[in-house]
Amino acid sequence: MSSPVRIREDGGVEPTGRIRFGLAIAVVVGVAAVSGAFWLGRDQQSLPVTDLLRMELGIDAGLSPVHAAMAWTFEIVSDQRALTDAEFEERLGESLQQSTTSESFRGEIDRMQEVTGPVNFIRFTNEGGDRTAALGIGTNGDLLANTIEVDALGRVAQWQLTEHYPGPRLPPWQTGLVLVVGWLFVGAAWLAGRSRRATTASWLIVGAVAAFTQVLVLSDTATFYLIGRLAPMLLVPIAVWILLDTIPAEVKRSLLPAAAIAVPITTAVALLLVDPSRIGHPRFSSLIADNPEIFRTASAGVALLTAVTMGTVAARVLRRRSVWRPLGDPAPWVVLGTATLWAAVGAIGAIDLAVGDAALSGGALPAGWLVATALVPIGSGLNTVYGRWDRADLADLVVDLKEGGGDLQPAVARALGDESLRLLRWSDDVDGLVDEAGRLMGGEMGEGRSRTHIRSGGRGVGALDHQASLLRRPERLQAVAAAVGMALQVEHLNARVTAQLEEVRASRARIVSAGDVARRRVERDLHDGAQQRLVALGLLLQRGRRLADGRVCDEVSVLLDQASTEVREALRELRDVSRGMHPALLAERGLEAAVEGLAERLPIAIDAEVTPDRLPTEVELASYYVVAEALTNVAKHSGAAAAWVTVEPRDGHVRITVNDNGQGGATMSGGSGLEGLADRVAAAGGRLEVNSPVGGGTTVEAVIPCE
Amino acid sequence: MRVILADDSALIRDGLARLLRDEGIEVLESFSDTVGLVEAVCEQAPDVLIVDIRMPPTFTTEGLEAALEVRRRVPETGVLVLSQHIETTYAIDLLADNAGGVGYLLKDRVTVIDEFLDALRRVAGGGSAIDPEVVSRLLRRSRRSRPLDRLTEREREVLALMAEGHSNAAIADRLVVNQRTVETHVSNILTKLDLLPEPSIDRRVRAVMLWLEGDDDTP
Repeated sequence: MSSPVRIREDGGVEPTGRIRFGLAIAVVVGVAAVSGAFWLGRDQQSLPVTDLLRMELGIDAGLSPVHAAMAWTFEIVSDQRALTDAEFEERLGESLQQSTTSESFRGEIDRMQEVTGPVNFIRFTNEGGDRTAALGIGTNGDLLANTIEVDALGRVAQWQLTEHYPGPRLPPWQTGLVLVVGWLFVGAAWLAGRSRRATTASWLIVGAVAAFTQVLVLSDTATFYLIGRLAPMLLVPIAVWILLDTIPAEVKRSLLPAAAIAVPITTAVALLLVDPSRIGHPRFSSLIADNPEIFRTASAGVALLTAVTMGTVAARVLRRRSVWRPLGDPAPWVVLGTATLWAAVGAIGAIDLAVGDAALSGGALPAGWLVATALVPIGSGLNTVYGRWDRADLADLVVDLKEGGGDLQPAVARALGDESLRLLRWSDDVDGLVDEAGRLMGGEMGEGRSRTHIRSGGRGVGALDHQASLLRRPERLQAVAAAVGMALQVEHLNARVTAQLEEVRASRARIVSAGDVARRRVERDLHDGAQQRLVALGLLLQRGRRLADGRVCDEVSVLLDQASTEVREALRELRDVSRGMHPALLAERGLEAAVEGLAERLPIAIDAEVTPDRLPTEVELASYYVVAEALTNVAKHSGAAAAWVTVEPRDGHVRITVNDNGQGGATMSGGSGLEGLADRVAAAGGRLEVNSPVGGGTTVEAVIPCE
Repeated sequence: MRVILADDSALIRDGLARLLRDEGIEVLESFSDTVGLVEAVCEQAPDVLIVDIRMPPTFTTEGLEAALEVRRRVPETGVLVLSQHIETTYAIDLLADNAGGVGYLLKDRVTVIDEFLDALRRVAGGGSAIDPEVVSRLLRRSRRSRPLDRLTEREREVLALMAEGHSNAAIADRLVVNQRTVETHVSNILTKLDLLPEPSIDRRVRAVMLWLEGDDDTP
């Protein structure tokens, strides 16, 4: 498993390269945003037209900025299309009547008239032909004396119309807030990265970049301006995601349906807030600008929906407070606050739009939204610092534990960020706690150390020896201890099952071995007892027969001969029994001779290839019984004319194969003797397979381990 | 005839000794194990050592080892090995030195006294007495071998009797045929098995044995 962080020497954690790289980018963007804000803000405060005019004319003498500014002014009278002379006159008339404040076009004209006398109006149309402006020039200003200067003024105006189109800018305090939100995101990302919450950190970094990008609305260039305006659209779903990640899972689950609605809605709100019509940019606003009622109704509806959705989110979080409040986790409060604020912004926006005047909000709508945005990194940061625990840590730990193996300790150390942590296991052998190396650990604790005991399945399974400072986050310590407890319990059960299996295997081997010993003893007893006595009896009978010859009646001799024959028959039967009990030849001459001995006795052609190496006794015996039982089956049931036996030791195993050309159809069950054979092979740690298709012969294959 | 007897079973040892004495065979000494056995044989030079294959202390093949030792040290003494079980591999061991005077019989055979005495005399006379069980098994073992397949049923019977150590005349008696017929069979057998005819009985047997043995290595 690749962990998103690595342990520092001092036991702390730091973000990985990926998160660090992202943070570096966010910081660079942030610095650029701050400097850009200053630079663009300064630009905004100057009088660019006057400056440009001055540059264009290459003069300074006799034309102070104030003078120049007062000597001319202009107003766009159409941003849709070129106008005829009549239409131009009409629009100009409207413009001059519209407003009377000192900053308005009319006010400018009035001032110019005071300073420079009567004002002449000239019509200018831009290159695209979709904008027309009226340029008012004071008639007795110095400028009029020079046609070149007038031309220059015209070029400036042309440029102004085409490229340098001013719109409403961010007020400085909003610019500041945007920057603050961006840096809040950077900070929260850093905290999240430090706490190994890589995904959250990544989202926060994207959020930071999106927040900083808003500064671009200060740009005079339309493209940059639009990017700046659209950035919050990206920011909104990111913010919702981060907020939902911040709250406890139990609460989050109940919020997912609301979130599914909230994300697109809030995106729509963002669109509303950056509505291009509000900046009067004709390229983007023509539809809405021409249909102000539709725009207003739609926007009001969206705002209302936002209010309802976020209100629902807030209500849900509030209703589930019994889940999250006992956790002491501040994040749900932040989510609650943010959702409420959003709901309020939506509601105010809706009323504003319904009334058709910025009655309620003034400039507060975007500000409210910015504050709501700012709450996102704040909530995330709070969660990281004071959160119940770092879910990512615990998730990583659970994955590490699942991987298993003996290196539980480093995984736990990583999860708790304490490299000095020691995992102790309860050992029944020493009736105490032992460390990874199996050393018994007493109860004494070093300075600044603490021990957390782990219980699972109703018994103490181990303990964590850790820095006492970890006790400051008891929930996290307990959660890790619980996870480790499960792992130790599993480890314990595994060991027990393995030991029991080994015990069963050993016991099975002992049973088989005891059986073998008993059979050997019976064979020996038969050999030394009954068989010898029968031979002796045969000898006596023979001597009796010799004595009887010619001395007693012939019937006695016949009877004695019959008795001798019976004795020999008894000996033959006994020999078969004794042979089946225990193959003496196996112990004396090994498997090859014993298999040959078997083959000789059976009435079928048997080809045996037995590697002549001696094997461990029990392996040899099991192998012998496999061959013996299989060949007996071949002779008894298969109807085969020939059988082939192979015994070859290879790679620590002996492979025994017996196959025939008989009728097949043999099974492991049904008292074929193969079942018992399979048990015997299993007792030796091996396995037996029977492949016996009807009409296709039978193959018995056993593989027995032998070291 | 003088014999030395070795069997761990007192019943058999005594029974056999009595039986042999009844038949006028001198039993020089009886052993219940192989301790001092070979030395006694060397010293007293009996005609035959009758020995049980399985004796103390390990009850495996002590008797066989003693018999082989005697074969090495006093080849002129015949050895007759008795066993409750017949294993061809032991027969091959006993016959491996190509000398006569070897017998290997199931213990049951002592209960047919005439056949037993016949075998004992063959061994004492430098011939061989191999249990029919061994022979039939060796033949079965070599059934998969091609050369034997060429033999007819009758030739197989003759070969089996040859292998047991019987003379042509004895074979003729048993099969109730003319002795010349047997001689023809024998010569055919040896030709079919690519063996030159040999005058002596035991050499013929050995030829058969060696061929059977050698067949293991060249399937």
